[in-house]
Amino acid sequence: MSELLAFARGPFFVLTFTFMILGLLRHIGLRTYRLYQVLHRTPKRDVPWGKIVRNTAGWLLPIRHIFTSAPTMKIASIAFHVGIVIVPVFLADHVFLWSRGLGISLPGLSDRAADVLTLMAIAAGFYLFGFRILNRTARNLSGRIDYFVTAAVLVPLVSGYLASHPESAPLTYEALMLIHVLSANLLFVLMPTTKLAHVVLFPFDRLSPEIFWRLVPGAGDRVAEALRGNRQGAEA
Amino acid sequence: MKASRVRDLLFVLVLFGVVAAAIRLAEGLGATTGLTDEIPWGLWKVVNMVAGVAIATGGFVMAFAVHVLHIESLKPLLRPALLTAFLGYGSSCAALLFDIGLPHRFWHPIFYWNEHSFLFEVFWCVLLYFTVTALEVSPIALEGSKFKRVLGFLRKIGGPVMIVGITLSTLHHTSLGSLFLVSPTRLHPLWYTPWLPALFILSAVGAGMLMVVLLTLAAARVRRQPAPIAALSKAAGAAAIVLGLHLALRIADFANRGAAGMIFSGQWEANVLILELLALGVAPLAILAVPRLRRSTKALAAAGICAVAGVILYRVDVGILGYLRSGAATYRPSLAEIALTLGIPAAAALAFLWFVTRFKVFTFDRRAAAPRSVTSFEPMTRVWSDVFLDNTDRLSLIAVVVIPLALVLFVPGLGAAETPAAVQAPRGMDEARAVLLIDGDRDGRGVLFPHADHKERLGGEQSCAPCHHLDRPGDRYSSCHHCHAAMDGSRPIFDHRAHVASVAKREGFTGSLAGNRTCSVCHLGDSPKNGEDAKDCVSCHREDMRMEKEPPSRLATGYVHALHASCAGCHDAKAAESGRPHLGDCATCHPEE
Amino acid sequence: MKAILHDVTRCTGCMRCVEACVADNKLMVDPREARFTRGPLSGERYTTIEEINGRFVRRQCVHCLEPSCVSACLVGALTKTPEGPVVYDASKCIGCRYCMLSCPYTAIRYQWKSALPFIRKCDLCYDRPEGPVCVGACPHQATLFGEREELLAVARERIRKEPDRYIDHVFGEREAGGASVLYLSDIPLPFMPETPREASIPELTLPLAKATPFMGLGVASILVGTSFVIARRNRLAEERARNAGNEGGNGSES
Repeated sequence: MSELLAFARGPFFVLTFTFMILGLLRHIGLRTYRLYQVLHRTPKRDVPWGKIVRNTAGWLLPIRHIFTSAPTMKIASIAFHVGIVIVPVFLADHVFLWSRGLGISLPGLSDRAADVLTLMAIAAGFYLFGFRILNRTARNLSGRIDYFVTAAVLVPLVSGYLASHPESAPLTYEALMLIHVLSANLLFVLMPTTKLAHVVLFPFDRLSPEIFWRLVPGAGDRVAEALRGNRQGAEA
Repeated sequence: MKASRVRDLLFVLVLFGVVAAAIRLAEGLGATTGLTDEIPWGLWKVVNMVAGVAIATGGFVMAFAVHVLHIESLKPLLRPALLTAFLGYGSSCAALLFDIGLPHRFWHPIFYWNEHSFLFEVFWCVLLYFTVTALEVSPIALEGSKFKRVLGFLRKIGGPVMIVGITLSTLHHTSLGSLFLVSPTRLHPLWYTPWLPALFILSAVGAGMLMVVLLTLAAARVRRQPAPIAALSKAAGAAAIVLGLHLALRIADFANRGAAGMIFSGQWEANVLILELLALGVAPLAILAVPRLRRSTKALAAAGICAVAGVILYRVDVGILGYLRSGAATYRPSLAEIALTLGIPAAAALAFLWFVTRFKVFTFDRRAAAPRSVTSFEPMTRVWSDVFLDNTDRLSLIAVVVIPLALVLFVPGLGAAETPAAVQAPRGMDEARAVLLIDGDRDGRGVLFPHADHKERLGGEQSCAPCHHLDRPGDRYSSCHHCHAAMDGSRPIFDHRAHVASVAKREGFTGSLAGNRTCSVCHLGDSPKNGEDAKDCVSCHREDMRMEKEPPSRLATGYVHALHASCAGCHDAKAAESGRPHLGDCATCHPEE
Repeated sequence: MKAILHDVTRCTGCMRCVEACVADNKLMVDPREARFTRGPLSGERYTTIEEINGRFVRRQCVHCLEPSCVSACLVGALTKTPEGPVVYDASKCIGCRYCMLSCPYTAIRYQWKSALPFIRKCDLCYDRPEGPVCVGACPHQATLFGEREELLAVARERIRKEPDRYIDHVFGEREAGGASVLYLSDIPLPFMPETPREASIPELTLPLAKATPFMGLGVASILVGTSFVIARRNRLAEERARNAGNEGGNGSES
């Protein structure tokens, strides 16, 4: 098992990690290239940057709309994202990996803070997973891959937490580390190949439609009206 | 196979090569190649350079046939031959740039001369001939462009340039053979002969012509055009004559040197030689001797592949395999080395494909003449767009998959675990250096380490392995904490159990688990509890551990120094005071020794 | 011309020459390591002791009288000084390693681990007025330094005095044209090259190298001549065909 672990955290880790970095860079590059192409084809080259930034920020932290619908889900989502962004990067043990592998020195999180954030993210993650199953709208919007990805994000969190608290863990430290490293490697592969790509593509979520379609405010409602057969709406 | 699949495959090879090249530049030759002091020339020089230019001879041979012998019927092959020469020499030069130790000094031979060196001749001839091929190829690229005057000038100087090119080629193909004349004692007698220059140019000319035949056949097939079979079979016939001449000369050379008996000696070198002579001489001759087969594309291709493989093998024999014979020398090309060896010709092949699509290289090819339609609204269109940008999505995906794989395979230490070399005991180690000043924990503080004592205690010669462990790569000595991790385990002088009890008492812990609560008093932090993360003894026993004198500045308070100086004095004093002499004995503190 | 005479029968393999060399050239952090460990010639050892048949034989660059590395180096980074040593000018080197390939003793080493590597070999301490540091370090005078002629005389004298102790041959006197490092031995030395006629390697290659420019001129003139002759013949044939066609009135091109 120690050989397998050495392979998983050695060559296999390097393989998946570089794949993730290059794959995400590729997404950014392709999106930017497409936007550049479109901008050069159209005569209207003004981009409403302010609006896009405002929309993206509003989407990142939906404070204004927090109580309009499913408030618990939104809070859980924020908690989940804060946890899974901060802990993997700034956990003290990971900070050591950053400096050893790439020579990047980052400030480390105290163990207590890391525990709190991890538990928060795990709880929120399970809530979101349940929400996906129980809420009808969410269930209808979810495919098999969505359940898989949500679960795949939870595995390294849980195994990592257990590995750092070996006294209460059901498995040996080595087994937990193996699960942790392998599931993290899986996550690196999923990052550029599934919806998880939104870790780098979220700025484009509001940018691309603005440039590709130039939708006017309220366009969605008008489309809906048009689909219902209201010709006036469609013409306007 | 579809043309786009061929391109994808070539692109994959190029990517592997690019990663290998990057690692070569960052890490140096030792980390990326299998070269040694005994075998200093490997794949990059011998395959890419010496063999690479040998199969690119088509350019000067066809120029000779068309411009000197004025054989009009071979004209359809002139342009592909010139392009082959240009790209072949270009990729050879590129490989050399990575092979020489100091690539930024590649221009030195232009200013520092040693005209007695064959390598100097090769350098100059290859440099000049590469320029010549560029001049010969550029008219093809400039046809129909707006640079009419440049094109006119190039066409005007075309004749003399061809003559210069043929002369330079003759010179450096003989010089490439002469390169190995410096090794009369090291190169195997199967290959070392004063006739090397003549043998090299003959084999290069024959195989180079067949290489042009092969490329023309391949291009015609990929582009679904009929091949110019008349010109091809004529060129192949001429190549057969040259290869026959080469084979005859080889046999004459063996007879002349009285080395003929060695061919069938059964040595592996002799078997390789037989294979080489079959591929380079016998097989193509047998195929091309039959007039009917000379007109069949399949037979021509078979003869071409045999001859090209044969000439590469001949160069590898002379440049690498012939030097292995001392037996002590080994050469195992690394993955990165192979990747760059394949990647550079793959890049040249991509360039070839692009060039024949874009310009009128194959005059028999009607499709190439049509200019590409360029969509008017696409601002990103560049001349290379059909190779790269049209397929951005697919090619970038290939890159994303290939580059990490190449990194893992090529970067030393990332891939399979290296087998560490056995540690050899220095002669007279223990007599000369019973006690070493070492920095075992690599923390910048030296410690006196009784090597002889450790060796004796741990079992003599058998004890090397645990410390100079042969199971961990990249580390010649274990650090101290590898053994001295848990103080209670291996060091009887520190009574861990007694400390647990006394600390619990001092801190006022009670209950059934009082002992467990004491851990964190000495072991700070959450990580494993061992000697490393424990507090210093001094932090509690400040008074007890007062040193008699300060340790020498470079020395840390090692076990021997620290504990003897701080304990033994007091023990001696108390022993005398209380009349209990055994208090001062060694065995008081070291009960097991 | 200066030279070194190494008497294999006197060497005890104490490695002090190696340590002194390593220390003087600052090749290792701890020169004692060179003495306590065995190892072949390398970027860290310009000289070393090899055990051959139970004898201790010191290896180093032998500073050939007509060195093949000097003739091979395309930028002239290696030169044979009149005093004897073959010295290396690192500022010219491009790292082609042709000298390593050409050395009949396989004695030139390379800094494989470096990203900007250079050639490494003994330079006979040419900048040290009191002679090579290894010679001074030898406690048994197994290695002597002096004029080559004098050392050859010493060697012959030793063989004459104790014919049973030595093979009657001064190794390095004539092999591959002779060297500035000579060996007296009671066993054959397998690393000594056996070139044809005991010729130096430049002797084998230089005539050809010198002929190359003339060969080039010859090839070029033959090419121009052939091209001219054939072109003229073609033109004449064409004209004749055209004339014949004009006369006959039904000229068809063949």
